Amino acid sequence: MYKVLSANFSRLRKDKTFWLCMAVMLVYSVVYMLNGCRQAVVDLAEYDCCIDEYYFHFAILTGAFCALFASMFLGTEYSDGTIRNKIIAGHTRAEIYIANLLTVFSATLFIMMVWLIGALVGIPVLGTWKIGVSGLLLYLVIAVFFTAAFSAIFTCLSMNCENKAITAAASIFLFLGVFIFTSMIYNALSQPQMVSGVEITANGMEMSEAAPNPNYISGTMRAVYEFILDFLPTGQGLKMWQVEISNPVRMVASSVFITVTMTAGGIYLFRKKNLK
Amino acid sequence: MEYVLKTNSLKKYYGSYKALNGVTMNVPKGAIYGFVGKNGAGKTTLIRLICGLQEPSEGEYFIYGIGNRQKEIVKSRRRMGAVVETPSVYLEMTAVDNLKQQYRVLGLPSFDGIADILKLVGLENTGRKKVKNFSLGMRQRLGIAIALAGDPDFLLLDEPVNGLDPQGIVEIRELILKLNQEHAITVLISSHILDELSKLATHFGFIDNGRIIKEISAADLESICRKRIHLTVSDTKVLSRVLDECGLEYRILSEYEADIFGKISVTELTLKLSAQDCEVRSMKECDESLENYYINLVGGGRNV
Repeated sequence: MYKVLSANFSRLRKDKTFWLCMAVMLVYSVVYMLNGCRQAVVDLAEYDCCIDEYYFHFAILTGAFCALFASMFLGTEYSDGTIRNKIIAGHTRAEIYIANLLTVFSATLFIMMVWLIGALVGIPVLGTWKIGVSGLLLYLVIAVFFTAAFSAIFTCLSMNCENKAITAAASIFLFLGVFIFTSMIYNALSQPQMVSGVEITANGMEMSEAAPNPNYISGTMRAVYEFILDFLPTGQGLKMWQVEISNPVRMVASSVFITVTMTAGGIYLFRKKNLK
Repeated sequence: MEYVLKTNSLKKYYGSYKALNGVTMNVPKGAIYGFVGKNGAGKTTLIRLICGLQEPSEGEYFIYGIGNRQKEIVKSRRRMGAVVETPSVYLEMTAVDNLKQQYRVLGLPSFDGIADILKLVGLENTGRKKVKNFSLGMRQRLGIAIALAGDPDFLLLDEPVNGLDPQGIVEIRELILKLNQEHAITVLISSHILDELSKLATHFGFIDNGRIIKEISAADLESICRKRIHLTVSDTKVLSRVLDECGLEYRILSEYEADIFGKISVTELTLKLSAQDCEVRSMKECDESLENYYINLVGGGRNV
């Protein structure tokens, strides 16, 4: 496996998609953080803004970059037919699969690291992390695990579909679909328990008495919604962005579960696959 | 005889379609094995199975005596190189980078042999040109170069001259002959261009509808396809006496039939036979090409 991994990393160093993703992430991180600094100083000066509110924005982008990179990088193995060279050279399919997974995982981590470094530009204005160093490390550990889960999902897709264009489109749409789904769940969970309306009275506008919000999710359903958010890597990303991590162990366990099951299933399918 | 590849009743199904229907073939060591069959006969499917790209539905094959169900098959595949259909090359890389990549896949300790391989296939002057800008012939030669990385003993080439111009075809042919004769590489080459194969192959395997219908050495095939006169006479004993007197090469097929090789004077032969009371009942000139041989083998009337 080391040989395939070495070949993959050598190709990664010259891969256009990888460097494009790195460049976009770097530029975006700097622009986003500078805009955050401007907001904090000009628009939200009365609030006590800190770097935490901007720094974890990468968490919702990681999956998209992973989908794009995995489908393009691994899709080339099929479109150029070079995956055959690895099999004819005597590597097992499991070796090839795991080497590809590790390459996608590493590349996505590199792209994430570019954000983490680029976003440091906000420190002079926004200061350091309110969650503290231990909190920051915990968030980063969760990010590494959900990156592994994303890598496992998109590697499984890319290794079992021979058409590069279809793989790229399917990966992006899958990410968007799951992201929209988790956003809807997050919004549902964000509903306040009680709501009060505005009434126009003889004395002018007054707040009406608070009443139970019919859209509020409660009971078992709330627990299920929270579980879905913690389980899906897009949900974890969303919560990390909002600095609302509450169940780190459940998140890490979910990522491990997704990574292991997707990899086991992906290898099983890839071993059965008739390559052309 | 030592065999590099042996297959035994190999079958491959895609759903209900039988791509291979019990292929049994033997590729001798040191041979250039011409694998002949029309489009869809099962040539590429067989090569895919041998390369490990697909698993057989039934039957088995042996590479250097190692069966496909044994774990060691992976190691025996390291002794072979292959170009399956299109060359497996990274289009965004140069020829050198492609070879370096393959060296890494093979775990070779240094890139020392790359210049020699590129020279062997005639791509030593491609410099920084990316493969996407190569001609079809250059890509084909690079595909062969990649298959040659790691010094294989056995090369599988699937339709290597498809789509090439006449110059490209000649170059690939010379390269294959060089690899076989100077580097002692056994080559299995599939093609439906029979004329091209007849200039290369030392052995032939004919496949039709997923079955090997004939395996034959080039020497045997040549003797079958030799220019000859097929005679039907009243007594082949008399005929053989007359032909011996004339010093002609011949083959007695039965009591009444024989083949004569080489040029003869029909009048002289007929008079000599008549003088010994031997009647010539029919005489037919035969000149069978590999193409005719194949057409007769598969039942005729269909394009290869």
